[in-house]
Amino acid sequence: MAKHPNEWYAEGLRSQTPEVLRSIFDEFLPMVVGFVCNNSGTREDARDVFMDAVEALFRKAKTGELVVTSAFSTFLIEICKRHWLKKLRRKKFDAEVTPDELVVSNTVGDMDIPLEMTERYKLMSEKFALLQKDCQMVLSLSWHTEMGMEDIAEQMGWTYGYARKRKHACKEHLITLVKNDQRYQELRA
Amino acid sequence: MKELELHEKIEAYLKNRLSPEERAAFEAEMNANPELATTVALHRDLMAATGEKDVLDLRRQMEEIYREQTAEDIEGRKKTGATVREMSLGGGMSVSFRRIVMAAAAAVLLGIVAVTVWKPWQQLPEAPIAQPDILPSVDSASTNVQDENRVADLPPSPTKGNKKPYQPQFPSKKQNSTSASGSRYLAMAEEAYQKSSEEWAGTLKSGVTDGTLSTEEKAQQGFAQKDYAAVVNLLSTDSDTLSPVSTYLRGHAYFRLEDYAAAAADFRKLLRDNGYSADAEWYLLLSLLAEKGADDPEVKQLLKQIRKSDEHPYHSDLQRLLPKIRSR
Repeated sequence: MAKHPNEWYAEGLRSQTPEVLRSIFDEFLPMVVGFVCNNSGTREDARDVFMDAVEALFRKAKTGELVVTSAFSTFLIEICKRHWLKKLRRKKFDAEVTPDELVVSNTVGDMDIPLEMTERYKLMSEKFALLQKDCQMVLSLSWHTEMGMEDIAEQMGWTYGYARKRKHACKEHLITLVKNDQRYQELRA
Repeated sequence: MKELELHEKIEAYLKNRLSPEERAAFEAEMNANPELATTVALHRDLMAATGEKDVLDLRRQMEEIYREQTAEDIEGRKKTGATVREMSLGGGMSVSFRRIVMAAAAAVLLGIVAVTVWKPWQQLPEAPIAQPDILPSVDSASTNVQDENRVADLPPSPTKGNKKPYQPQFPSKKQNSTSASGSRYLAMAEEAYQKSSEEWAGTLKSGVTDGTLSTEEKAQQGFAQKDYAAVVNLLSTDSDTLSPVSTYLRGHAYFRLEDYAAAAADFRKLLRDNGYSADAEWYLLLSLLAEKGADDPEVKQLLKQIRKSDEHPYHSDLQRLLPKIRSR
């Protein structure tokens, strides 16, 4: 049972209050670990599922769309269960144990889209972190600032033509890294 | 539309930089072309995923909390004196003592096998380095283009100490055009140069009539007006004092004057400049290809260098050039 009211968790999550985040992990992660490990998963799988769920809730909370009709704990655990079972189905994994009495609630069905977005974006930012530093910089400057290519080239100490080609090569490499990851194929299926 | 231009258009679309008419046309194109729509969606996701600072902060916090919790959990179990059999990693999962013993035994067995078979203390013979079959055979006496001595031992600049206006001598063209393969390499190099230098040349300033232009600006203007001999004359100074920009410009002017040896000399000087090294590698390659052909050791080295890095900005240009070299 949750120790605090829903608003405490929702608002704390939205504002990323460290005390609230720690409380969410302390109180609810062990339950998710128990469920995942009893359903063909590992502690690392449970960690990934839990963090994806918290991140998806954050996305909803920051846009003001988060509506928790049940207790926060129940809501979060249901999201994690649904997320894990979907991951198992995507991997076409035949679970060693499928509890007959397990029924995953469809009341958290509207979390599917933010969860998929979370998985997709997490994959892309992981691959981005694998690029060389100058690649990361030229793509960041191009995508997340209003700088034109001439200014970016000057900042990087490159010619304009080189900067255009380099940026394109870096982006192609990033796209290749993403597409070659099995998770990308699973998410598209 | 070339891929680079397409990607730039996609980004312009996603950043709302297209005019209303361009935007409508692009959206119509996406509706008619599912592959384009998928590419646009991927670009949108990449731009969004890498720009969510708040989400990245949240992930970092969560990772840190998880690491601390796991460390505390293990520490707590140690303090209570729990045995390996009873040790729980939290949440009810027990580690099998039997599995640990079996894993340790397997590791020891593997170690014994590895030591018996591999014998790491013995010297292994050097394996011959296989040459990629698309490149001409490597001359065993070839020197590394990065060699300090090679960089220092440059052909003399035609303008060094020479006060007379530059007159194109066409030495390289004569040298390389005596054979059919030489002429073919020359044509390949010139064609590849034409394609790759177009966009760079288009960025040079032209049409400025202000009399207070610097020498470099005058040279740029001269280049834009295709007066390459004037560029060389304006920049005819001791190369050590010439800026990388000017050296680069002069190298291109030499190339267009078909003085490939001089062009190569200038591009070679820029190999260690962070801003120009990749361009210098490519244009040095083309200059040497035009001057000496594909069997030259330095050409082979440059081909290998550019080919091995798929992030090299001229990697795709090289991929287009290689089949032509191979089919000579």
